[in-house]
Amino acid sequence: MKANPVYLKESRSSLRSVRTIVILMAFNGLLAAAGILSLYIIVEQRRGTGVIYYSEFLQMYVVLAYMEMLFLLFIMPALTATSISGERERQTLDIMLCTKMKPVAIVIGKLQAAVATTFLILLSSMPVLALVFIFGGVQFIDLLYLMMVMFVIGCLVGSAGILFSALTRKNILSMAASYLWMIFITVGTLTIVYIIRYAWAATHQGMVPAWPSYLLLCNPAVTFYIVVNEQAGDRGALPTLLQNLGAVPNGWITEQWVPVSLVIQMLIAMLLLWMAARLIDPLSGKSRKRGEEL
Amino acid sequence: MLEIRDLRKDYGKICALDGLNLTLQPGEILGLVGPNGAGKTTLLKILAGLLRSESGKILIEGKDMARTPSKLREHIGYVPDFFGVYDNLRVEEYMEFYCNANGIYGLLARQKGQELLERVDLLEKKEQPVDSLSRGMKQRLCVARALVSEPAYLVLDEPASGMDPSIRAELKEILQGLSEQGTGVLISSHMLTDLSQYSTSVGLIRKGRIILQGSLEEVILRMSGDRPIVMTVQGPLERAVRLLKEHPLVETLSVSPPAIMVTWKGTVQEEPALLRTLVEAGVAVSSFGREAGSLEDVFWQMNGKEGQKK
Repeated sequence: MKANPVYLKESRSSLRSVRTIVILMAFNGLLAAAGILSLYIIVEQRRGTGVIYYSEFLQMYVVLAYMEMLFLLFIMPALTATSISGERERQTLDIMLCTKMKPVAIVIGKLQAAVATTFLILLSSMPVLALVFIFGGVQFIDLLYLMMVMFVIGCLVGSAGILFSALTRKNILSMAASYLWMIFITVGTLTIVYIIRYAWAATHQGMVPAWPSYLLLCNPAVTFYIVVNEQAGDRGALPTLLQNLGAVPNGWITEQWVPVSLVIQMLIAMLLLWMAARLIDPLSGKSRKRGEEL
Repeated sequence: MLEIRDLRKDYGKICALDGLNLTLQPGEILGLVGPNGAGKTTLLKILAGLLRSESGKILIEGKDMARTPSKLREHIGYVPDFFGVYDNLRVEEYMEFYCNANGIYGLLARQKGQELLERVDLLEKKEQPVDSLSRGMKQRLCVARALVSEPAYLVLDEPASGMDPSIRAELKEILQGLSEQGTGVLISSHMLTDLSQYSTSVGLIRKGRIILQGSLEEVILRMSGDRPIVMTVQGPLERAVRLLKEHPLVETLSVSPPAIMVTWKGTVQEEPALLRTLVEAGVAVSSFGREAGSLEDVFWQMNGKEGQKK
């Protein structure tokens, strides 16, 4: 299978850039500091008793995982929101569209490159995450699972960045829209479910509906929360969360919440990419460049 | 042969191409001349597969590709009026990227890239960052990039704008080289003096239509039909002036010894009769012909602003 040319080019540029190295070092430094500090506190607190609780190491894992997630949520829009608008700015988009590459391959290449750069940074943090292996509690397979979840979340946030980049001409607008989307999909959906719950209860004699909770299947933060908390031993993370937001829907979807949400989020990412491809395709009729020059 | 028939393109209510017809032979360098807004860029973008036409045909070796822009891209290379380069890549990486984007990978891509860089005389710069290239080198790199898919035809939109004469001379050399190798070149430019130096033919475009296409000489001759006749006379001019004044097809004349300039009401076919009249009357005419025109004159003529130039 041939590698996507856009992915190869972007990766080449990205690996050469000082920005990537600075981000990599800063992120690992921060993560390592947090990890070592947690380890120090745990060991210091138990120095007198000699009793070590695995749950404390699991908490350290949760903290590190959340730091990685936050990094992912903030870095992906930054990497993708200028991907297409940047090509327009350099006037390279038209030239790329004159090649045999299809618009969809161009946007996929852009996403691939952003995800690869992000995961290079995330994978580089594995030694820090491996601190949790010192006393056990989390297995390597858990880390792999976590990476897979983060991959899907990266695709969801990144594809939105690419869509906004294709939609707007200005990098700053695209960047702002991408961060707003990220906030909407994480905090916004939670708020909507919360509002629906109260609005419904107010008009239906206090009855709390379960169906709005399904909206949270699109929420990557919820998926991540469930995965990490379950890995840290909290099997009731999903029911507790849903209970707090309304009723817990019964059925197959709730039982398979994480895989279903990952599939839905991946489908949304694919839809966003398809829309971005339509926007940059000069022959689709959706291109914003039409009628620019005679 | 690239043949465009009745090509039409509208931008809402604005008609950019209004049944345009054009032909481009392999090895021909066709200069597209017309004012801004005439439809040049639209035509080139349609040929590059970046715009879809409303109707009409684009025939390449007899096959209509107007409805399949992806096929058009295989036969036509496009050099827009900007560089569009990635400054953070090295020259060979830049070429490799476009080889990859055109389905050529690995060793073949590297070989192809080097071959094209050699063709535009940039091979020795292959390891330099694109950023470090001069404008002329970037222009040559753009031509090399457009040739990656080995197109039979190359279309260039204002490639010489903003270039100094030495870079324009380099471009001329490259285009002539391509022409010799059988590549048909369609070039839109306002550098009319340059264009007249290397174009083998000219197409005049106005309001989305080709109003005249032919060799440079033909076009100048056709568009210079009402240019004055200039003759040089040896010896006294009186007899010649008298004869010309009496001639029914001579509108005005001005004398600047030994030259006489005549505004001619007659046709081109009737000109030899005037010369015969003068010679038979014993006037020693040493030169006789229409005032030499240029592509620039043609441009002004086409736009009805001949006086503006003067």
